[in-house]
Amino acid sequence: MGMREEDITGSSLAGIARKIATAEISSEEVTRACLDRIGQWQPSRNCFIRVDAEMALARARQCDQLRRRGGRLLGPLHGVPLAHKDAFYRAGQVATGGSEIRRTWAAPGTATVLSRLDEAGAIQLGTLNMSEFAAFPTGHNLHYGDCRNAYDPSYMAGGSSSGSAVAVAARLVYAALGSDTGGSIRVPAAANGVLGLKPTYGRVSRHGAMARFWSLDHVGILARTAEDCALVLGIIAGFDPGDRTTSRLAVPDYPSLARVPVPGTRIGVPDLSVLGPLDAQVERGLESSLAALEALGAAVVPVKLGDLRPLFRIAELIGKCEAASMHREWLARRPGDYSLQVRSRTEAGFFIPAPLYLDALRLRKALLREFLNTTMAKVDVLHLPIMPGPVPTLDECDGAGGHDRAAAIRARMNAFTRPINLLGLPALSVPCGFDAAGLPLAFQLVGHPYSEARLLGIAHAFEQNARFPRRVPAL
Amino acid sequence: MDAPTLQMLAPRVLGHDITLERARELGEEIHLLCDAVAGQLHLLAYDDEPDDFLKILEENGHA
Repeated sequence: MGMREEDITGSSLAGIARKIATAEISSEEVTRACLDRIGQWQPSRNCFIRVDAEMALARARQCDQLRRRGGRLLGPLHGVPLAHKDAFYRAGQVATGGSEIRRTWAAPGTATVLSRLDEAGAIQLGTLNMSEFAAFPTGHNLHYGDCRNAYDPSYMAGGSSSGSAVAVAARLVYAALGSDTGGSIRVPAAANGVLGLKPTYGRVSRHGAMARFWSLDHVGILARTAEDCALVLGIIAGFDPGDRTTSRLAVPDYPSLARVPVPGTRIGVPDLSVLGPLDAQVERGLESSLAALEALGAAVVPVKLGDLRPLFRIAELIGKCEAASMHREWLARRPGDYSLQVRSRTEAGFFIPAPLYLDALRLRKALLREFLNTTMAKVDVLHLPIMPGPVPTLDECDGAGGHDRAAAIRARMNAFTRPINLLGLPALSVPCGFDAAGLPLAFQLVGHPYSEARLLGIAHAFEQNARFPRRVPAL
Repeated sequence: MDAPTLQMLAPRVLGHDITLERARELGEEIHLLCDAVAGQLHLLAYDDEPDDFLKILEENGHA
């Protein structure tokens, strides 16, 4: 008997890959189920910029034929449908970056991460909505329409990888790539109740991924389970001659390591009062997740966390200078094709003295060393919030409205995520329940360099044992 | 940089005029960012280079 459509789309990435590999279900059936669901959800959530249905079905049929003819599988994701933020280039296809400027721009080459997923057998269903040029954390988009939260379309999807989080949460795809320059994977993952992994700077190639700020951009994964994140990370991680910042360190067997037990893990917890005001519901989510991790055998260790604001601002300075350089020509020739928010957010970068920009880059070494030798010295991971407040409605954080409250919400949204981009450390957003409005709550794990497996191991144990209610988004 | 100077430079640097109020906002923003970097300069040594950051990440790598 065939599987029901919701059982197909509700499966994990690892689970559906196993079923396709063992011919329990065909790639075409899975791809059609995802496309059907996209048709149902797209009108209310607007998480896709483009759906490539025919191309995806053709590739699915190829995958099925290959398997039938010789039993050969292309790789661990043979015939599995995914979709990615519209910031990853594929030769000859449009990659808008969520912008008007690139509405018809066709990429000259293919991103390394897409090539690696192709080689692993994955299918790309289309490109996912995102903030214009990955510039904002809310998921608003003037040019392609706002992306809306999977749990309630009147709420913020989070950004800039808004479509990636919503498509994964709503079971339209099994996993998605995103990019994170200041929280652009972790914030939308948190807002939509999925996992969002920002790997160590240098772990995953940025070649062929649209830049937001070169020095702070990280390519990462949004998925529904830690095992799924590990599976994708194992495919996309590793040295790439196309990106000189990638590391030659060996890529470990993430799916195996992500099953390493938690007992003995030292989880550093800072005094939350130093982080500024936190919403009571967010605090309760943090406390209950810590209690669950302690019950699993982790040791909670108080740590001293310095003021994160200087790190945030140093990252901002680097970013504004790099954005000013990248956007200079378009800002001069096509200013009207930018939203006012993106344009005005870039302007400060034109006035910052070059030596200070270089000093900011040079400071990363000392700041990272200091952070590792103090805050992280006696712990394996750090446990932090993602956002200081609950998921806001789209109206509450609408940048175009010009309201002070919206500006205040947006200003603090990356307070706990952007500093981690400056340090280049791996970080993972982990769902941990729901607030009174029924929107997801999450916590953030920050690890030592290249300790992605440990973060995923903790998240795996947490998701297997945590007792918060599990709710699947409904239309 | 004070607001009148920013306003005067805007046409050449940004390619368009800005109001004095916008120049004030920009000035405050730039001041905050530059202060953050200036406040940490004591951590820098002459030989520090931007790419050293990648080496520190690798040297402290925990697989």
